[in-house]
Amino acid sequence: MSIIQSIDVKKWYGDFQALKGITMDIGEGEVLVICGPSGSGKSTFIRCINRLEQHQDGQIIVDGIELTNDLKNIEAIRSEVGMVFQSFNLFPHLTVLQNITLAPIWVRKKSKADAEEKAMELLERVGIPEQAEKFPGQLSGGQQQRVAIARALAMEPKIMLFDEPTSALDPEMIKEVLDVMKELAQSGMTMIVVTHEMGFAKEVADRVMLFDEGQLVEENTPDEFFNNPKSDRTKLFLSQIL
Amino acid sequence: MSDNINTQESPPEVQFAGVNRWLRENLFSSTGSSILTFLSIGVIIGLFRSIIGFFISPEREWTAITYNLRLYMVQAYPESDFIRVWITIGVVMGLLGLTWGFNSISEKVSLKSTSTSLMKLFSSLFLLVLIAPSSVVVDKVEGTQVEVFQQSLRLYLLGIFGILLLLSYLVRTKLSNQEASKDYLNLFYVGLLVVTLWIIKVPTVTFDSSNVRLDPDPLMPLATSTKTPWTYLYVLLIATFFIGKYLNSKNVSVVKRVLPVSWLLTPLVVVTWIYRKPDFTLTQIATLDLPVILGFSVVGYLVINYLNSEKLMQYQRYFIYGSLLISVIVFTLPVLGQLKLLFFLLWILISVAPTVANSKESARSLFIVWTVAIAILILLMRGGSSESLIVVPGSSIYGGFALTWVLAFFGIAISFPFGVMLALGRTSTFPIIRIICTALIELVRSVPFITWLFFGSVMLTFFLPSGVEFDEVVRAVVVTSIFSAAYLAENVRGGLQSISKGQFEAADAVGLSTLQRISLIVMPQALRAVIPPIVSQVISLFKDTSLVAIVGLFDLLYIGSKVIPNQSQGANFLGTIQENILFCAIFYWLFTYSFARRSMKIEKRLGLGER
Repeated sequence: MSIIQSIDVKKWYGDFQALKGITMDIGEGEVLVICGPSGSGKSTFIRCINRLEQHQDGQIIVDGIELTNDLKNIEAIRSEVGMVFQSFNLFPHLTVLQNITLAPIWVRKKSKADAEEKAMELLERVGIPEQAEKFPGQLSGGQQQRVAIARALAMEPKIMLFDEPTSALDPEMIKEVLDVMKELAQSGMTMIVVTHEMGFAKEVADRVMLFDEGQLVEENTPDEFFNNPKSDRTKLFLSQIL
Repeated sequence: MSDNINTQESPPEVQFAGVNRWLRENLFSSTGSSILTFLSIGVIIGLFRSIIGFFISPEREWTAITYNLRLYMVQAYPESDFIRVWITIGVVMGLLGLTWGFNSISEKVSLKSTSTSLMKLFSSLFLLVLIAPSSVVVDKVEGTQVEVFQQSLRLYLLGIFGILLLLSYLVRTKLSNQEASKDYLNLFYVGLLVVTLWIIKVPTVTFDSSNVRLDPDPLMPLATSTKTPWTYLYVLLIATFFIGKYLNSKNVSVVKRVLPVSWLLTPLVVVTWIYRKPDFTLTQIATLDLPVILGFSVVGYLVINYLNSEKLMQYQRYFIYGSLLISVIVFTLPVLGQLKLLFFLLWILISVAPTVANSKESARSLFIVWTVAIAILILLMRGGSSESLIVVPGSSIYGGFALTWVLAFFGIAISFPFGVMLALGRTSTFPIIRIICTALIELVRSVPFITWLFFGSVMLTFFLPSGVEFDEVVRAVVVTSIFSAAYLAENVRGGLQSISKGQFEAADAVGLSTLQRISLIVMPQALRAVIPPIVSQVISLFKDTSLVAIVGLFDLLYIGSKVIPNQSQGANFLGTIQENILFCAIFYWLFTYSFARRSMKIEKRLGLGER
């Protein structure tokens, strides 16, 4: 059963067409890795899924709800979809714990004690329970990104979107974030990951896609994608980054 | 390799290298800097000598201030009603003590830092006494010198400050590791202030039985008639501090909600009830107030519980526009002022109710808030619109520092939320709201404050529906707050622009609503980014209140510059303008400087998360 359906999604920035009709189905529990050169529309696409960007044509249906301008639908979908950003976007004026408990308390109407208990569990899971009372600015990049993952997980989402989660990190910190993401994938979470980490794609992904100039160029299993790509564009892309 | 793990070294200890070296490095590093050092020391000493000489010269008539302190504080407010002022201060003191005690985090300060600042204070006093001139020139033409500072007094003062200096030095060296509770230390400082009211004596003008001024002026305590009330208030402060502390230790969570509400209500209650004698008759309340409260609470109940239902939700925008239209129509109708405000509030309720009251629980609490707010508002307006029975010569019962304080307090309290709303409106995506807010800000900013004051006092009546009239002070408050809101809005907008797009996206991505995003994520960050400009605006608002003199209100500065220097009946203070202006300057400085100090501390505390 597919949890996200995207049918002929198009998006323009002014005259520039960023998405030229993206059609795909993502099943529950699937881990999808999207790669592609910069400006290929991959980030734009996953940002359309929780409506940080608005698509102008086509349909996106998340968990049975179609994304329209209806505010209620958008809020319903956003609380089902967690998002992790390239630049972490933690709230700098709140402690790590407050960052994680904010949405459960205010959106899910959980009690503070419940939310904090859950938050501590999540911090254990991402491996930094001892940082709970610190402010984001006092943490390293890798730690911040793990907090961001915990923050997204605190809403108990069905889907997690990762928008280049490791691009702003030092090589040593990439591993700690990827480890968390691997663990998450193994737990059965539906994940869409925009990344250049090909190792992660090989190891964890169920499907790998290549975007180029707003189009879905290739869609394949990781094995086929890396060893036996269908399109020439993929071959070129792989030859440049591997 | 266990010894490899702990390779971290502790940083070298920084030691004070000694006075000699400090002097050599900082003041006498080269011939040029030595010359500069000596020159500037000479200039500073000369300057201070002349300033001190000015203050202690026998030509200065400081009794103009000590005699007129009451005039400075409350102007013509009748003595028989002073108890109202004391009750006001008492309420504020009580709340202050409760809040302080309840939120006390039992912070400790090391005696070292306390004694260091005491040493600074005492050594500067010591130096001031040391360089004070012993005689000043009285007559510039003849050059007569008069001794103003006796050598024995100088030695006496030097001795006192020397001993205090020595004591604090001893504390600093011997007890430097000890800690003291910051709360108790602050209570002790306030206590010292109260004690000085009793001890410090100043010359005051007094008259004998046949109304002839006594010569020389006898020395009386600084606050002759107010020292007893201040002492009681100090005791009250201590008592409420410990009550607050006790409540906190018992974890009484209701206090947490009651305290902010009381702080919000106190100024309104004070202005409408304590400074007035409102007319409460049962018939008025029964025939007018109760029905209005009931009616509006029923309407509020309906709005809160049914407007967010599926059927009505789709027509929500029509409800919002419709109720806005109604409130505008009501505003132009000749009805009670209360109704105008209530219909406006109803519009706000209709706009926010469906988003705020999304669960049964929140609907219930919103309904309670709404009803209580309406009831309080009606009672306040009954007090505010009733004829004041306190008889005062002149146009307003507020005058002097009380007026300055009322203007500044309400100016800030009203302009702050208003300014934040204007800033949000100006950055809003709704074109109509954006245009209105931008136009308002630009209009208000581009006309001088004094012009607006005149507008408020002379022309506002033409624009209001007939029958609506405001007190002169209320008009001044309205003008001040709107004027300062426009500037504040621009400051806040600057803060809003400093928030990165990522913060908005992150707030959206975790599912926060627009209101939550603004109040939980955007505003806290935006406001702390603009604390410095906001504080300087608060300071300038406090000082700008002196401009209300232009529309006939007697504020602190007007009393000092015009009223007292023209006093010729009773005590003769004709021409004492220098003393009075100096006093006003020092008075303003005390307040604005403590704002600034306070804000520095807040900035330091809030800066914690932004490293």
